Amino acid sequence: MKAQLETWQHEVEAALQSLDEAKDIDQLRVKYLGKKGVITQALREIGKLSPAERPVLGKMANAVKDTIEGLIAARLAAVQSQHLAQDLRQRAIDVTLPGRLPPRGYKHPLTQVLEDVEEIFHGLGFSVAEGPEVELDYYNFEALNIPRDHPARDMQDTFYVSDEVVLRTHTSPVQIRVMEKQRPPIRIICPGKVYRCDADVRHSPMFHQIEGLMVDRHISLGDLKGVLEAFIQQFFGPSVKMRLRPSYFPFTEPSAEVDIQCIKCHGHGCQLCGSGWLEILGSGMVNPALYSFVGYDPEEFTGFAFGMGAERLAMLKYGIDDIRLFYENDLRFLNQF
Amino acid sequence: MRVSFEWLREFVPVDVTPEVVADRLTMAGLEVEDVEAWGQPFEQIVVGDIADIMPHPHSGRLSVCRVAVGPEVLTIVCGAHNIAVGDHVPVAPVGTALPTGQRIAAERVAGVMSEGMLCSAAELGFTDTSEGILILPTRAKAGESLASLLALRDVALEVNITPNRPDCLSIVGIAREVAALTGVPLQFPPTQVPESGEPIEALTTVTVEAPDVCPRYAARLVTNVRVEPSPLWLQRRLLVCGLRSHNNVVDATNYLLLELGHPLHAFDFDTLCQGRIVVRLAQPGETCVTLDGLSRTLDPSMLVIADAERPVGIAGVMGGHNSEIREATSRILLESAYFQPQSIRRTSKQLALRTEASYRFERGADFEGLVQALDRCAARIADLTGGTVAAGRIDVAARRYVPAQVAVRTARVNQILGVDVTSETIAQYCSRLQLPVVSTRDTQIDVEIPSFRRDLVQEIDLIEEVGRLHSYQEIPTALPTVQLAPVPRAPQREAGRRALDILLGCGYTQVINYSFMNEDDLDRLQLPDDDPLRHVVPLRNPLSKEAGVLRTTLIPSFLRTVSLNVNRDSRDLRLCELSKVFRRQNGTLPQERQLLTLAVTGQQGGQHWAQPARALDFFDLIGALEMITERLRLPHCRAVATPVPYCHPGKAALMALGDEPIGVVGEIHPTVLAAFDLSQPVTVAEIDFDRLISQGVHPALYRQVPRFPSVTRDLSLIVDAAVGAGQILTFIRGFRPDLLRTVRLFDVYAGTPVPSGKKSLTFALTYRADDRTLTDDEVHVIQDQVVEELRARFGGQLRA
Repeated sequence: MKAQLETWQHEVEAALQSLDEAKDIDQLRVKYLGKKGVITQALREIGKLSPAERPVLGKMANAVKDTIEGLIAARLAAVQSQHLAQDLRQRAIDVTLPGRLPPRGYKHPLTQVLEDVEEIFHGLGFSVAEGPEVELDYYNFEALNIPRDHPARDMQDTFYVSDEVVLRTHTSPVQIRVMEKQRPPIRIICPGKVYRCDADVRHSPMFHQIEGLMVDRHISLGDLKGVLEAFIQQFFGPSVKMRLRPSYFPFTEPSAEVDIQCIKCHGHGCQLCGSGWLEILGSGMVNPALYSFVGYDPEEFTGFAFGMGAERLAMLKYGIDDIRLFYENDLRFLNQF
Repeated sequence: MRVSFEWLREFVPVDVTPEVVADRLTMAGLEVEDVEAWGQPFEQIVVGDIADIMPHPHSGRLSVCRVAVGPEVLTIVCGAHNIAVGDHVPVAPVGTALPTGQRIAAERVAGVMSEGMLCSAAELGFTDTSEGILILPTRAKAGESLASLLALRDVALEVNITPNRPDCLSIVGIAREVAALTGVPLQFPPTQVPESGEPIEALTTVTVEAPDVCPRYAARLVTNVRVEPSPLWLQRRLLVCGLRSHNNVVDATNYLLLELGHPLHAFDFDTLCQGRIVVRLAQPGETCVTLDGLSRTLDPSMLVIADAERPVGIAGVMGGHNSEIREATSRILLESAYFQPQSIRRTSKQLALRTEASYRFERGADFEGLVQALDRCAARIADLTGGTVAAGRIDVAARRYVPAQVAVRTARVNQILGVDVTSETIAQYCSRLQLPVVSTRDTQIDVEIPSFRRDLVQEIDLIEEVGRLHSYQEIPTALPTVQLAPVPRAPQREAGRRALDILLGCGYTQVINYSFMNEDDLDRLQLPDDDPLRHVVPLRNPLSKEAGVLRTTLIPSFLRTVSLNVNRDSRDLRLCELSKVFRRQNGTLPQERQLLTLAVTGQQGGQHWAQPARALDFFDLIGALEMITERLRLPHCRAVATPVPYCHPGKAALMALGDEPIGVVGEIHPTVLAAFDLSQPVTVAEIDFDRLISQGVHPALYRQVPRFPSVTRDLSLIVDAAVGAGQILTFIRGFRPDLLRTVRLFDVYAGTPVPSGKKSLTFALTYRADDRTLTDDEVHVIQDQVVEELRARFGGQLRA
């Protein structure tokens, strides 16, 4: 019997090697370990043996049974994992296929610039103020110290709706409207559409401006320089230099044009800038004449104002050379941003 | 203002380069836009000595000249007849580019090879017209360049003068600035007028009938003048500054215009009726033929210079043709006046006639300096024409210039500029600008304002001058010290920004269209005559008819944008814009509202291995709007099937917020599409965004996460095709909101076996209670009630 047990074990070992299917392995298990399996039957026979033989052979038979169970279980696990592996292999994908894209929309570059500028000034403590795009001559010109028949009106080609009503030529009227309603301290920026009747590669009859106004006690031209420098370095980069040049605007005095060092040639002079400097905004100390329109005491309060074109900023930032592209709405342009 | 650097140095002899001067001016507020080496063509044009003149073999009009230009002798065919052997003339050899742009090439003229061109004054750009070849002085050496012979080398500075600085519209004005900036003293020789003969008062009179508009009028008389071309040095200075030469008298007035910035006018005295001047307002309908040959109709708001009978010029704008200086002119009345700036500006605008004179007068001339300009001009004319200046001058002045005194407080200067300067420094800056300082104290100085600086009126004006001279670069950069305060964000603007971001996430690209509209587009939209969208705001001075009014809707712009992109092969589009429209209303200003406009066309997906194509349509827009209302937690908008004039009759809806219509969604009607050159279907939505968000954007509010399970039951209903699924959804949603929590419509079907004229709608109803697990029975009861109600309200039959 001992020899028989050993033979069975060898038989199972040999048989398992050629079995690759779970059901075949199960048949083998039934043949040896099932209710009518040879090992099961052998174990039953053990009871009939003499008391001397019983423990020895019983122990041996159980050992062989355990071994065979182990062999079968191991083979089954191996076969199953093989099958799983094969199955997964068959489901392999081409990972180099292009991905599924959710539909993608693009934000207009001008909106991006406006939002960037707003965020920078928000961080500096300025809140946004808005006003009508069709404006009274009074707010657009007169209260800004540009009376009728004044040559400064030539600085802006105006669209007229009537004698009293114009399309605002700048967002400065918002400053007056805010100052009429609110006492200092004032820190606002006024973004929005403005209109001038002029159209070519560099001029659009509609464009976007962002103006800023700060009125408080003890505000100086030095403060204006500081605030603009902070803006420019956040918008264009920390190393970009700035300079102020005296200029003239009826609503500010002293007035200054602000140039930045050319962001393309870094001030050496190139086709974009010519001189190494790029004009980007107009600014100045609020002309005390304006305070008389809004009832502020010019001895108590001083302030500064500045204004820039979003198109100009976007053209510089992205290297765009034709302002009309912003309003043509060609998707091949818009989806570059 | 174009400035001759050579001329500028006559008054301020700086010994730095033009570029350095340009930089100093720019940084002081006189922006130099260009520094241009002037007269390059004259380096190539040389003096030629005419050695021989032969008749042309094939043409009676032409002659063939042999011209020595140094050792070389050129053969040149010429059509002019004022030349003789031995004359020295300007020769443009082959390869020269003339100032007029003409390029000289070797060419056959009537069969004879010509190796260059003999030049006239006009061909050299000196004058508008000229007769014959320019004859040069005989001292000219053959082969010498014209640039060297006539000292034509110069540099022109193009200076951008701001409207507040009319004093800088002149060489002397710029020189004053350069002197103040560099410290090089200004040189201005006194004017000597060689007077002789009868006093002017014996010869003429000046009557000023409108002293308000013409507070000062001065005149001189020059007799025995000989009108002829100006000397070349003078022509050159005018040319560098951008003016052409006419004759010595007109050139002299233009010369003074450039030198001192004061416009003068010379009348042919013998053409003046009764030999006198009357300064008066025009009579209604009176006409005047101006120097440009055009007849101008005047009105009584305009000031004219007249003689005893008729206008001989429009004051401060342009002289009259009838009193123009001619070759035969022998006596000249020279005018130097001050006209009220606003009046000149109005007249010039009304006549659409802008001149060098009106440009300066409307900015403000020099009330005192006009006398000096008159004297210098008279002396210049006498010198150039050999004329005689009559003794004395007429000077009719309604008032005198009394210089204002302005106090400048040191503390105020330092406060505004953010600097720390003393009153001595401030006084120094003023003196350098030729502003007399009357008194200097520690706390304040008093400055007298000369007549040429009428822009300086208040303290702040002088503070700006101090800043300019101090240099803005020297002002220390600071950051304001202020009280901290919260920085509110405008909720409306935030809502717009978020809506835009949501749409971007849904695949919509933001466009920005002009606020203008072609009013005809409203006809293309098939709008009835009484449609509120026709309440447009017209512009008085539009750039074109296509942009003639302010838009009341963005839909035409969107259709054009779609058309443009489709024509450029972008056929699948999702577009959005949040912008204002304008509607005429009672009151001065129009109504402005912010609209959210969307458009879709073409398809989504497609041409992709894993994303099948489907058409973009009405429900994409409804979905996009739902996305916005849901994400911003705004009240839900309902679509109500309603005809819209420019939409497909079966695919259009008003969007309603409660009972208030706030917009439209619809597929564009095919005939409207055709009117905008489109053939593929386009669906648009236009919503009044201000009203959409009028109830405020609500913040998120936590509700307990469900603790008990939910149960979902399907419900298939057959209803008439005309019944709106939205109404059924709204009904179910409101039926038992405490237990019937959500309802989704997941199938819409028409066709067999559903009877024709009917449709099948299948809903998934989800039930849940907050405090217990619902039993099947409870759910069953509610579902039965729903079915019963749907039957009663909508005639819906359960689908078997």
